[in-house]
Amino acid sequence: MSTLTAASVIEAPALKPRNGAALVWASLRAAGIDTVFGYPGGAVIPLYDALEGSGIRHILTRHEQGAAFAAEGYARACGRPGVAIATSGPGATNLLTGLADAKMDSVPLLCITGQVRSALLGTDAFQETDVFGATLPLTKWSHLVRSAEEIPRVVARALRLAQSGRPGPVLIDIPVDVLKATVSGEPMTFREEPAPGAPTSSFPATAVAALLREARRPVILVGAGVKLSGAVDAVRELLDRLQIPATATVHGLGVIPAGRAYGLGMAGMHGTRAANIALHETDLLLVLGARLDDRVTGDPSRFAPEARIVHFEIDPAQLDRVRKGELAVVGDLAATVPEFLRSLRAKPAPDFSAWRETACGPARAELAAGGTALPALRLLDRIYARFPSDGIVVADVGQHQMWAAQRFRADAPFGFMTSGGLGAMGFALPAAIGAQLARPQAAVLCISGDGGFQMNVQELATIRRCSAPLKLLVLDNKYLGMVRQWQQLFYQRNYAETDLSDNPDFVALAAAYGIPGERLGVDPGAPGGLPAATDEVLDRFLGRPGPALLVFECPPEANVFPMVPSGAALSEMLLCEEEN
Amino acid sequence: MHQCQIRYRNSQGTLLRILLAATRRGLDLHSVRAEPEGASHRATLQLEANARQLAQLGRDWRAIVDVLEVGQPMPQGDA
Ligand SMILES: Cc1ncc(C[n+]2csc(CCOP(=O)(O)OP(=O)(O)O)c2C)c(N)n1
Repeated sequence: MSTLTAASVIEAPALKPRNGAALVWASLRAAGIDTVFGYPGGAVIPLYDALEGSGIRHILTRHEQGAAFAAEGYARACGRPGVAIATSGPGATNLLTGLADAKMDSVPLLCITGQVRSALLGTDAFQETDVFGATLPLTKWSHLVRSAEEIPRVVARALRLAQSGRPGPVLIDIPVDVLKATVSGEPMTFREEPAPGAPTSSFPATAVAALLREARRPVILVGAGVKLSGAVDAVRELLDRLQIPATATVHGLGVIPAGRAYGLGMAGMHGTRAANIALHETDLLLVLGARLDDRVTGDPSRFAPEARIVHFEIDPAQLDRVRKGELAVVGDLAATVPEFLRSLRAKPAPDFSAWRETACGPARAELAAGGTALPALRLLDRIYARFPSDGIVVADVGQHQMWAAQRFRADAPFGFMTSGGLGAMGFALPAAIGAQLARPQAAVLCISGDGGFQMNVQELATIRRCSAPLKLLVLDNKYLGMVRQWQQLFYQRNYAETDLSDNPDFVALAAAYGIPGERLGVDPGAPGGLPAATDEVLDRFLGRPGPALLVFECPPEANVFPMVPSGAALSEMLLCEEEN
Repeated sequence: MHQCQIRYRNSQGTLLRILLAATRRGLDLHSVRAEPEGASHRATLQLEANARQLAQLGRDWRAIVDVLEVGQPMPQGDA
């Protein structure tokens, strides 16, 4: 993962009349940005007018939400900021879900919005929305530009803040007259402000050593922070050194090396049985870069009830959310985990092999996957087995997302992305486009449900336009499956407004966008429920040089298990269909 | 009632972000005062919040870009 540094000298480009718009592109270019996603409109026409010759590749999406999610997918895939551009008013408001998503999942995203003329600000002019006000709670930082001269400094600051500390979204709102304003052709210099450094506490080696000595049932929980801080190798070394049972949040998937005896699998609402039992029983929980969201903890007041918690976290705002008195190790994990490792060299950790064997042993293994979910699970296994280990899986939101996460086994820290914190349906398709453009050589698989696929289906046109060789898998259960599952389990099967049996023909829809597709159904008589032709179909699907769609028609009432009901403790998970 | 003091750089939206941390929790702001203090600004907020909310607020305020310092909340008599 690389981090961009903002340049402090911006050359105003000589090609076009030098104006604020040209400065925007030059400032982005100077900071190393070469790809942006966007959608034009009145207030950003000057920006588009100055695009040619700027050295920036602009990807036209078919909806601003698509642009924001694509920019996020780009950022998540390569670690550099994603940039999304929209016009004032409706264009800008269409970015809000992307901003909220990037805030929750700590994604460096820069949104640039056009705004009405400065003189019209506050007059309810045509397509005027208070974008600065509307996005305040969704952004880490934002700025309404008042003069073109500000642009280089503001862009540099925005990009720096998006990437520093806990990464997140930033927004720059630029009135159209500022974009049109003429600026001098002189190189513009400004003082580089130091990035606000992450506050770092010195590693409490003695306290942690004492806690490890006293612990009988320690567990490690790995979150997104490990990846964001570039600490994957250090954490893997730590895990191998400690040999403590280790579990991951959905964003931490891929960090724990595959095949290790201490691996517990995913934690949380649809986590593994072994992980959730271990989290319930642990007496010492080492949290590495996870914010202990309630999807991970279950009822926070009953989470890890006997555990002392040592929380490694860059953002102090995330501490003590579950319980007061955690031992906080504040700072960048890339600094604090190596310190932990050094302390272990001086004083090795105790042996926890007996506990590890209990926590990770066969008695707590998953029940054999069964029930109506089996065909979907088996299909995912077969796809993953064919999928390159350095590929990227992008999952949307719903049952398919949890199945995709549960079956994900790759040793690839950046191989699985999803809208975890916000849980925004419609994320996967545009995010997969962004991921593919960030890593053109990587295989990218987008997994959606039939509901979420239709939320940004217009981006099939973007796939076509930029020839992204994405593979699109739709698990079509003809329901808003995850909601239906809750209705089944907790609302006496009152399937109110979750029926999607009138879905369009997705294969024909993709064909209309020039994307070849095929359909695969379940064969109830076959082992695992998959028809004999499955391998052939998958080879064709994954082997196509360009984009392709596979619609898997899975049983409508398939459910995701294990499941911790909302508000329950992790120990109260439902394990399988039969219990219900 | 508690009084909270926050020193911040008066960049666009910083005061609003400080206030939003309270309003998103449904807390009523009894009074808000913001004024320059040397090179920075100081906001003084009076609000009704429990200890847990005050702790969360303190952490959220510290995480805001351009917030420089967050004081300990001071209990106040009935205002
Ligand atoms: C934008 C948005 N709207 C509503 C929801 C609530 N929601 C969560 S999962 C889900 C069902 C998703 O259905 P589908 O895409 O078909 O996937 P499935 O669960 O069937 O795999 C819904 C409606 C959401 N997460 N995001």
